[in-house]
Amino acid sequence: MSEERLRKRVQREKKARMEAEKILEDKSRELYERNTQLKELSENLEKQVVQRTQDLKVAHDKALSAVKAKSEFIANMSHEIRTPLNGVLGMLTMTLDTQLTEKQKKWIGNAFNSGQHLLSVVNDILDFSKIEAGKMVIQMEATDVISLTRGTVSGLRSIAKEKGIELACQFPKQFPSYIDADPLRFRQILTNLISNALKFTSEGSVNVSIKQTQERYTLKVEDAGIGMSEKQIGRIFNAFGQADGSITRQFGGTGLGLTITQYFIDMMGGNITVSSEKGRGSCFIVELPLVEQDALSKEQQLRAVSADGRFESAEVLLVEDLIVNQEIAEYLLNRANLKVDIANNGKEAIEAIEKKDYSVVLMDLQMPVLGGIEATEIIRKKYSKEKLPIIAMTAHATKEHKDEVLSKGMNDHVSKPIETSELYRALAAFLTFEQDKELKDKNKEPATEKQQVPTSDTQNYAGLDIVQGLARVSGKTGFYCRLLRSFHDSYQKYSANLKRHLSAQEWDESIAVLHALRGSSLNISANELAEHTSTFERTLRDASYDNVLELESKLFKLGEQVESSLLEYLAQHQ
Amino acid sequence: MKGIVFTEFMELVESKFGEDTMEDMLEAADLSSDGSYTSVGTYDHNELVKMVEELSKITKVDVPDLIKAFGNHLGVVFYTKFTTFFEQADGTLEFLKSIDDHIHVEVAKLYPDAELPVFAYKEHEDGSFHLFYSSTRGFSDLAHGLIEATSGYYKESFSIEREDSIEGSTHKTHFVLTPS
Ligand code: HEM
Repeated sequence: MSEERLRKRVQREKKARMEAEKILEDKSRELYERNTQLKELSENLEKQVVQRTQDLKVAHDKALSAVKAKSEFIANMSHEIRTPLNGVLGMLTMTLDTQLTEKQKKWIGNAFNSGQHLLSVVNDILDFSKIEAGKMVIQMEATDVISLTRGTVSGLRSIAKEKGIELACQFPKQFPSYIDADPLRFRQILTNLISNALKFTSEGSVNVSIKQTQERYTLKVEDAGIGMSEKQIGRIFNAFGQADGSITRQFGGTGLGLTITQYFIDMMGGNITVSSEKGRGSCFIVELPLVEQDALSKEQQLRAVSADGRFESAEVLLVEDLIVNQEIAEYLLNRANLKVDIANNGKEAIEAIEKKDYSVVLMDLQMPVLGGIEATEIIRKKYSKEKLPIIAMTAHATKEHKDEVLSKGMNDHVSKPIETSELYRALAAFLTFEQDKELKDKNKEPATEKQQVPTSDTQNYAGLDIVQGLARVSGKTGFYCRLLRSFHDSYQKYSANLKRHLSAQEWDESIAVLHALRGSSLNISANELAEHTSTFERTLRDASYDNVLELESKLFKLGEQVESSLLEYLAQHQ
Repeated sequence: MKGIVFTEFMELVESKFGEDTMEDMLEAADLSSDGSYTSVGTYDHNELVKMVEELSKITKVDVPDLIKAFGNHLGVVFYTKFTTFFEQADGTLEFLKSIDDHIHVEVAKLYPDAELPVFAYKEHEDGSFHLFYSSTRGFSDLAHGLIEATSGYYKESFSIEREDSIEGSTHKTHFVLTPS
């Protein structure tokens, strides 16, 4: 090759190299700039994420406190509504007992029915907020379901008659008079199902039937109403979920009834099923387990029977500052053959007690001059619980409130507005029914005997407050065992789900499981577990995830403890 | 067109026809880049056309044959440099099917200023495979060479027939591959 060509070639190579170097330099500068941009972008993004998270947390906190404020508002409002409504209803009851023309009787009767309806709506809302807050407690006792069902059905007859619908009942001949249930809640279940059936039926009949096998009580409520599609059936047990929105407009109602109904049935260890055909009608079936009837004490049977009875004459002191309430209570007490003295506040009560021996004191809590709790504390310095029973009348029907009242020396409590049967039942613990007198004289059992919880029972079960748990179900060991068993079943499920959700960092799902677990723990009085669960839940809701592992391991430790305690308890009580 | 095409072309010319032929070709082509290419640069594809034309005059080999030979060479370069693309396909036809929606897509990501042809294909029931090339640059012969190199890689053999056409500034070629 000629020198000239070689030179050219070298030049060409040099040019190519320099060009390549320039391209590379340009590219690396570009790369550097892009990198810087990217870095800025990602830093910005991080800042934005932090800002947004903070905004979200603020919004979340605001929402939470708004919800809390609303719940409190609802609780207060329901209370505010219930008190005057109680006055109205009481006055109407009294008026109905006076000489009235047919017309007046009808009008007052209608007013009374409307008032009762309003009360039931307010109660639904209160019940629901209690269930939501995990504060609902049911009181199991021997309950005469037949007469309760009869009574409820006949109470609803007038509605059926007005609509021109037949309300038919079928009861078996040999039905045990008592099953283990919370009578108040049992009636709520019945009323809910039957009045729903009536509400949605415009012609034809509603059939209520009761069947009973060895261990099951079955209630069937069938209607010939508008019926539901499968999709609608799926929704009706959800809160606020009637079959669809137009139903609410056409038929009214809170949409809470079935949610509450289902909750009560769950709590009583039963279940509810629905079948329905659109345009044909619906059929609700409730199954409740039966328990050994021998376990019922005579006293409980008496109490259940005589809800409307008369007592042997006795003197009762009524301590209450509101005239309306005084009159209602006095009327109810007089009707039950009791003599009543009235004190307007705690101070007057203490003075009255000094002058006369009362069989029972009925004590309001919030009063001017001296409140009920303060008065009781003073009275207890001189008179023991056995010597002078005091029954509190509490407007705040929460469990905490009632527990507090009991711890301050009261013997029992009834909630206001006063329910006739609840009042008589409470009084029955300290007074004697007229027709029971002979019976009682013969077998000298003390009237207040309840199923006692053996003290040895209470010590060895770490994580379980057996005393409280049994108290919640009126000392029914069998029922408590059932609750424990159902806790045991669901705990397996909960713990598996919780582990899964936590490890996948699915916080919402974890919160839901924790919430449910807390409810179940409260039901059996696994208080430490309940408390820790709620702490855990709160922590997750606050979106602080630093201590999740610690909280988780503590939770399962407590859970295992409860599990082993309850298994031991079950082993000893079956 | 990307520098790698040019540098590979120079390699081929130098190794097949010698340094002197390459210098003759460059002198005759009188290019604005003086033939000083780097694989990372980008150059006018007409320079390649010019060089091939001059090379044809010097060597008395037809332009299409030169370009096809270059396609053969480039195919070998591709399968040494971008082996994975070849490994992802089981045979020539599967590989050809993936040029348009996979290989050239990746190429465009690597070289955003690359000018690539468009390929479509059709399989006939009689077992023949139809590949449709279209591009404003008119390198059907390069494609032809690349197809041959590809079947060489997979050790398969096809008879390749083609039909060229021009629509406006778009060059189109219909390749028919039949296993042989
Ligand atoms: C791993 C395989 C392949 C790679 C990495 C590849 C990459 C490239 C590159 C970098 C260019 C240059 C584009 C430019 O400089 O603007 C190109 C052009 C081209 N490729 Fe491919 N290619 C491959 C396979 C194929 C095959 C198998 C064919 C033929 C069937 C083909 C046909 C073409 C043609 C004809 C051109 C010239 C540009 C045009 O005609 O518009 N390529 N390819």
